Amino acid sequence: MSISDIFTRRINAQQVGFVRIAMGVATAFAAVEGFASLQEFGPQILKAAEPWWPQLPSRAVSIYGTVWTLAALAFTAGLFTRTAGGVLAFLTGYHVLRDQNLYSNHLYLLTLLVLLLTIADSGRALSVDALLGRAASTVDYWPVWLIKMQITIVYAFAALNKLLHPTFMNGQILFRQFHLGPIESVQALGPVLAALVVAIEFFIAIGLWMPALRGAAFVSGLIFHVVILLVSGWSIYFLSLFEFGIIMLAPYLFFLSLEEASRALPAGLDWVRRYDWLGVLRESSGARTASYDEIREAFEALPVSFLWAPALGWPVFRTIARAVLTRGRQAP
Amino acid sequence: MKPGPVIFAVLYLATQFALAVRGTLHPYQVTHFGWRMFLDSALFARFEIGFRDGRVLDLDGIEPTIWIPLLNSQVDRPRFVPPYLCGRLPDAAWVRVHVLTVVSTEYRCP
Repeated sequence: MSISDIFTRRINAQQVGFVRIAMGVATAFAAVEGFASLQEFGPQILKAAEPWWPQLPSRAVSIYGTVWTLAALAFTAGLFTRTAGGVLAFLTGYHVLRDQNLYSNHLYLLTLLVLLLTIADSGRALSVDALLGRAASTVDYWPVWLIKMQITIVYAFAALNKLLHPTFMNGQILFRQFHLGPIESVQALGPVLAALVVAIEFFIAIGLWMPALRGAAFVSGLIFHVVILLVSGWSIYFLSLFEFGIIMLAPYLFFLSLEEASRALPAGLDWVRRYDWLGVLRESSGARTASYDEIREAFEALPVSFLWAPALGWPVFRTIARAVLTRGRQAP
Repeated sequence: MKPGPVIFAVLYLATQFALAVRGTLHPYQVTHFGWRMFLDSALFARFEIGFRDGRVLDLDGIEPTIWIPLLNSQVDRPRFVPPYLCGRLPDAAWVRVHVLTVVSTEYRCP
């Protein structure tokens, strides 16, 4: 794809609408997280980035939080999406700049993605706006390309910064920040785990852009963020990591080419259509039973399964699934 | 190709790269906007809590519900964690903050 293509191409509006819903939900979680942190540490923890930065009067904090939550809900529903997204990006951006002590990479990233989704006119599909007559089948691709670049920058610099940090590479930070169970008693595994984390992040950053590695990058990203959640322990920080998982994983959808009605729905898989929220599947001609690979490809185009469906192509799953399918078809 | 989106995209990416590179060039400073997940916590390695009965414990020795919120690596720890620990542990007399291998501060509980 040339530079010119990036700025002239269009993308399936439903794909962008789905990611908008995910980001709206994450922003609502972020509101809960922000106020829970304030409750835990007290309002004295707030520190402006610059002395001249306007401070909210304490009486206005509840209004600020209420407007944030309402804007997040409207953005999720796609109601007056551009206005809701603009307000939301402004309020979360104000929080990121106003308060340096509770500065959060997650909220900063969320602010950037909400801004780009607002520019992308993400309310054109899967939204109340669309039901009210403002629907469109495609939207500009270039803001979506910036989101893909942003996700890549996050993974690449997260990996690079860790690689250049001796305290991370000897495993100390992993052992201190996470609950690793019996692994914690084997200190020699620290550098190995640290190297593995860095390798996974670099792999995702590169693999998302390469069709041959994309499926493995999706599955690696899914496992990576789930494992982070599992070893983080329960706290308000768990909510933060859950939210971060949504923020990072939902935009993976943009790395797939999912034009409307671009993939055939395999015969005998009509039930799959109810999960085709992006309108990607079209009726298949013919009535033969779907092959295993056709089923996998259909799953790779669904928002509920696109992250893990590539693993169905791995030999171990392929062998198991073929055996199950064969047995199912032989049954009376 | 309209110039507006191109200019916006160039400025956006240049800013993102500049902020990220700044974080990479200063590994031992807390820098924001640089995607340094989990790294800033390394600058504030450990807390010790001295109790009025003479016991000295680190965070692992106290109730998990007290220290779990501190896992959030974004907080300015030397400044806010000692008064927080004193507030949550009424028998605490002081809190020491160890930055890397150097004892940097000792906070006396009120």
